[in-house]
Amino acid sequence: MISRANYVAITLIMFVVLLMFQLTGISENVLMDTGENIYASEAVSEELAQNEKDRYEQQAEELYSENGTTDTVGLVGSESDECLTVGLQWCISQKKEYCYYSDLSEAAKDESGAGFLIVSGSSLESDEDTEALKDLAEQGRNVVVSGLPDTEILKENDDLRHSLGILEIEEDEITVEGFRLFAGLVIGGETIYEDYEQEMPYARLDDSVTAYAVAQSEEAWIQDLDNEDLPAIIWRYAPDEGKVYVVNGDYLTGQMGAGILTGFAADTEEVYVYPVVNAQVSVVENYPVMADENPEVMEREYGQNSSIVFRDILWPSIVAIFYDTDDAMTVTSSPRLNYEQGDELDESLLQFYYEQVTKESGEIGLSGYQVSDVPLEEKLTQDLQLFDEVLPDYEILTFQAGDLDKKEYEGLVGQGNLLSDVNTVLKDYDETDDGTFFSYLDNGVLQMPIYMDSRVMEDSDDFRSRCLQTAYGYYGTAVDTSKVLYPDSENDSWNIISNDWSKNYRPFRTPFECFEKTTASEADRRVRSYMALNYDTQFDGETLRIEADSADGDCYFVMRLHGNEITDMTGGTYEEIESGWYMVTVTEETAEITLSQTNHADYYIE
Amino acid sequence: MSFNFVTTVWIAKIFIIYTLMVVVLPYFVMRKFLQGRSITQKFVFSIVAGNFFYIMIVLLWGLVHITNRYVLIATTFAIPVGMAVKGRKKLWEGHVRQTWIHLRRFIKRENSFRYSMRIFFRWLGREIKSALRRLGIFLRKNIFELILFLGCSAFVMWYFSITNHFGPRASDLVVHMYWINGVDDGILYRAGIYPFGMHALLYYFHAVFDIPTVRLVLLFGTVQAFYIFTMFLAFLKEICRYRYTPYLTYVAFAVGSYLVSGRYARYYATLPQEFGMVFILPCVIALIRFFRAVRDENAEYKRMKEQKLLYTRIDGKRRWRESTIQLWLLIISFGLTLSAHFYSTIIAGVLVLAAAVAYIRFIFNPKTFRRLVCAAVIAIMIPVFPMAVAFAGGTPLEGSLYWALEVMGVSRSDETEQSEDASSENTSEENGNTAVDSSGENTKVSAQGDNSGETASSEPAQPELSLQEKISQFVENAKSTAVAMLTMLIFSSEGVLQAWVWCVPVLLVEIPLMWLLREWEYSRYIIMILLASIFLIILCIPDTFGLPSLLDQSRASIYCAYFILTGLSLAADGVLVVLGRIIRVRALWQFASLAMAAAFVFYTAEGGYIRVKTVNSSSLERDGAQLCVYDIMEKYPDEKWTIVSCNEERNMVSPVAWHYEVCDFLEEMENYSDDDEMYIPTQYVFFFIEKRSMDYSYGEFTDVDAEVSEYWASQELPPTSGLSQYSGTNRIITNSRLYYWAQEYQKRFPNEMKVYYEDDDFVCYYIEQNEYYLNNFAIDYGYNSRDYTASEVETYD
Repeated sequence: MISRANYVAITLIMFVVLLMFQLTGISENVLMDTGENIYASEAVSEELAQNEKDRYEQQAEELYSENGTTDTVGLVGSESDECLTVGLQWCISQKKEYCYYSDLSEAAKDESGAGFLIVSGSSLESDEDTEALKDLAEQGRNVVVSGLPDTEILKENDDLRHSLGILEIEEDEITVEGFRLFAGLVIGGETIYEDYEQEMPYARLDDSVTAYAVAQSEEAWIQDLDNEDLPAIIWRYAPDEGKVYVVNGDYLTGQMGAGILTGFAADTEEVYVYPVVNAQVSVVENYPVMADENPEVMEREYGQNSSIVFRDILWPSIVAIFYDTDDAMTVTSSPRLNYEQGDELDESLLQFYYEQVTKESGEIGLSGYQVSDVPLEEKLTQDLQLFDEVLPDYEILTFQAGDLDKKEYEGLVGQGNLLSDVNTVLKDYDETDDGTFFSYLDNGVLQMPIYMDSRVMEDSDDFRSRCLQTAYGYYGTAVDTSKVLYPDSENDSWNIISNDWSKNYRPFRTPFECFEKTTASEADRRVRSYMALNYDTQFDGETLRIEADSADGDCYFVMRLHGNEITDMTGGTYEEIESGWYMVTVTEETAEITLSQTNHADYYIE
Repeated sequence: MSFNFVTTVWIAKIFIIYTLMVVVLPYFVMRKFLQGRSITQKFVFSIVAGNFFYIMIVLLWGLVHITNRYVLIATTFAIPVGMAVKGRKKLWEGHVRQTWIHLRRFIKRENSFRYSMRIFFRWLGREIKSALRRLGIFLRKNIFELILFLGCSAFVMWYFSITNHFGPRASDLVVHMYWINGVDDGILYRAGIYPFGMHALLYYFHAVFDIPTVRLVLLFGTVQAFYIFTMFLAFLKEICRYRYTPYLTYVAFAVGSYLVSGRYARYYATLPQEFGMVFILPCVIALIRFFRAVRDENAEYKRMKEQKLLYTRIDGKRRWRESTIQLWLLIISFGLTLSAHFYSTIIAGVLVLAAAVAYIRFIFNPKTFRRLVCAAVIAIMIPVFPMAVAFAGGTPLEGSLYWALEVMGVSRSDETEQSEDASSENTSEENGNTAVDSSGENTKVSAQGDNSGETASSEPAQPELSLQEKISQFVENAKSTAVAMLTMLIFSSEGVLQAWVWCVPVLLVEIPLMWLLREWEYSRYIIMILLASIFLIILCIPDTFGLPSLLDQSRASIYCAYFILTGLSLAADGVLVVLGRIIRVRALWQFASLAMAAAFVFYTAEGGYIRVKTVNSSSLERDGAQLCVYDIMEKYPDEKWTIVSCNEERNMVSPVAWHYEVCDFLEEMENYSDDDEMYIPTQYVFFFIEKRSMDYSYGEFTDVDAEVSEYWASQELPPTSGLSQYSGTNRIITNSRLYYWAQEYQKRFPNEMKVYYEDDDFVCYYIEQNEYYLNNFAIDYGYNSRDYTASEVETYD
């Protein structure tokens, strides 16, 4: 027998449990029913966006200096030199003052001038340059040489050779299959690139040299060499207090040169701090497609029409991969890919995808991609109509421009345009672009590059990823699902795409897990804040003080330490990325970081 | 953490391990056999058996090159386990059966849990109670003795533990480390055949307990000193009849400042000679006990024969007679002295000779004589066996053996082949003393004594002397030389010498008194002590008596000092024995002995006669360097690092890492050219630099400024040859050169090359390298590309 009191108590408990479970589901549905973009409320406000843009543009202007100081970067040579363009963009992103010198002699004469100089190796030929290099080293100033001078000049000019840390030019040109990148220059640790063929002169190096990358090859003569005699690709020569950093190749002529320059700059100081974005964006491009297109191929490859394939085959694997990698989901939808044929479109799928993506705390943007040839504005108008019908309250914050020309979309995004809510444009990465890595459109919309294909991770991709993440603390990757619908090759089958996508994560991205995974809108906010950031650092040998003037909350830095470690921090938090590299989050205006030498005797004598 | 504290902890750790393994474990293994014996006997048997066992297993396995940790552990436990199995019926089968009965009952629920617990706790309570009762009885009986012993022992441990300086106290310690580490590589006699007892024992602890050799060799000296002193007390307890009279000598020797402090200097270091000292007195104890047992056995034989009970006697083949046991103790102890150091064997031989003279009556018994001769042969054969096998296998003799022979006056034609190690031992063992206290150490007392200003060569021809005059002159000469030696090398003051001299007539008077009282045994002790003292004094001044010099005077005097105060206890004890025969109240005289000991302790303490501990820093290595060696060995993975330093650290780190000598390092970039290469293929490289160089083996420089300086750096690099490159001012040059190299290299590699440790005298730099692409350390640092034939070299001002 059960007493009445017990009966009532049990009933009440059961009711409460039932209510709790039901409420979870109900609250989720309530959230879904709003049909809003959960990131819309967190998006940067119009006023703040304008403020940050203004700050950034003002800073960029103010960074130029007529006269250099020790903290200034000196760009030596013609302004049109590719390496100087990269150097200029790097200075702007790292908020470094820069100045120009016509040649090294001028820089050397300016004894109190720029402490970190960038020069193209091809411009070094005269005895004055050699003399200037020596003088600069004695003055304790550091020089980055992009590419070696002509080998004939080097062979003839002993002094020039020695001033670059070269003992002998053994071969004018050799072909190497890859290279070994040592730990320390960029984040990611030591690695070997076996498939990174390049041609380069073979220079045997002097003493006082530290190599950052040396050639790898299966060729017998290279295999027979001592490690220290291997053809070096990137090295540092330390003839005196000042160092000469030499890049034997064209790595400083593209966007990823920013990473190498960061590594060099970090090497010149015992403690080096620079701002980063701290965001990793993973985008599923052209997903979802809700129209039933290319039925022959779909039927042949998957036995179903495309909308079903996207819903029942692609979506579960996408969720699984995002779950596994812990990436934040950004999908850029293209309801149709072919706007000319008017294939059947299941509008209810949009609601379904909205609910699913929102459950995954993801974000839906719009893609500008199509296989048809209708004007972009028309395509986007159709897409917006669909959204207005199904999700009238959904604010589309992100536009995937892909490889579209800036002119095509510039007038369609941003305040007062067709896509008025959009403040982020995801564009394809261009290594040779001479503009800044992140850029503003005139109307304040931010452009962020997607520089990786989630399916592909060749050696060159890995090196690019390391360099750009080191320089900016930003990772942008995407997988294009339109290829499933319109395959170009056998490899565009979804099982191969998803396999390639998922397998690349662990070996290549885990070293960079310290950077936060964000959606495109979250990254947008961080990039804006990063670009507008104003900061100052002071180091007294034991404590590093960072004064950060951020327009939008927390700001992020990467700290490179040589033989030191962080023991304490106030005004923020820190996390070790790898040996000698730290991720620092500054949450207050001033942060203080206490350092101590890593390797030292633990004992003392009383 | 303070390195001083770490060192103290290490000393305690080594002491505990040694005590447990060498004293306690053998005692437990032999406890049935030792039952009924005195604590002294138990101690002597345990320590001798323990040392013998560990030394022999290392030596025997070493001959077949199997000396790894697991073999040694297995061998160690083979005997205890074997005995436990063999004696299982008595030892543990009953307990196990009883426990099993209780367990089974509990499992079958015949006994409740509470009842089982009650049984268990009742048993536990009984055991604890019994143990506490035994402890209480022991404390009640021995409280005063315990206070005396523990007080003196604590003083000894404190006095001989150096916790404020850390370098080696003798330069050959690193050679011993090298030899011990050789066993790690399966090479028993790495530098040639040498008495390897101490090395074998230390290797055992290094291998089994994973203690770095450098720690053992640098710190074992304290433990060794404690046991040398305790063995002395055991010997005194053996010959004195009253309980507290041994403490007169023990306090005087262990705590008092009655002897020249230089005589204690070598106890700081872990040296084979001192290790061998532990086994000298057990030889005497065993011989005395042997004679005593022979006497008793003969008496018993006689008695049984008279009573016609000989047929009841158990045959010697079926049981070990006490005399045989003691003879084996003598054999093993003597063998251990030989396996440790020849000098200890010589001294053991001298003391055995003194005992044999005292017990001459027994020697003339042919049977006893035969047994003793056999024992002598076996005692020599046991330690010589491993050496003989190794010699037969082609291992040559170690150089210092030739040196020892030379000291004894035995020269060989190929003297020039003597190894550097031999000379280093010679030098160092001399110098080991200077590191602590050099008072009177290196003064050779001549045959004419200290007042013989006139030398024989310069004297005019002496007139012919009669035999009586000659004898008289000889006696006078011997007396003055002995007094001079005792004054300069043994006793700290004339007063102490006088006091000791007064003991001699007392002992001489006691001999006939003992005969009158029919205390034959006691009289033999006195004779033995007097003879041994005389022999040891003669050993210190053999020239006076026209005898060959068997060992260095400085070494002989250490043994002499060790033994010479024995007469003090025996004289006092003898008086009590005589008085005890007049008034036969033993408790009264026991109390009198306590009063004497207490009074002496009071006198020593109040009179300011407690030895003062003054320890200078090592003259061989800077404290900072030793700290760094320990710190680096503890923290960095094996074989991943190299130390670049003068010489001392080479053998300290050799088993786990690499060493590069500074001279070799600098030589690689001397007369610098672009093609010079100097690679060290380890991830971490540490550079040890003495900012203020020491005068190697002598302490600090007094005549030159030994700080690193441009002047010294600009001197020509000493040629690389032996120790000379690190001796004298060469060491300052070498350190200065390395210092300026480090300054220049740090200027070029500020992020990589850092200071690891620095104090006023020493600095350690370190660099972490990319192992795949090594740093070329050869650079032009400003002093390695100069022309030293040019006149620009400055002169020292």
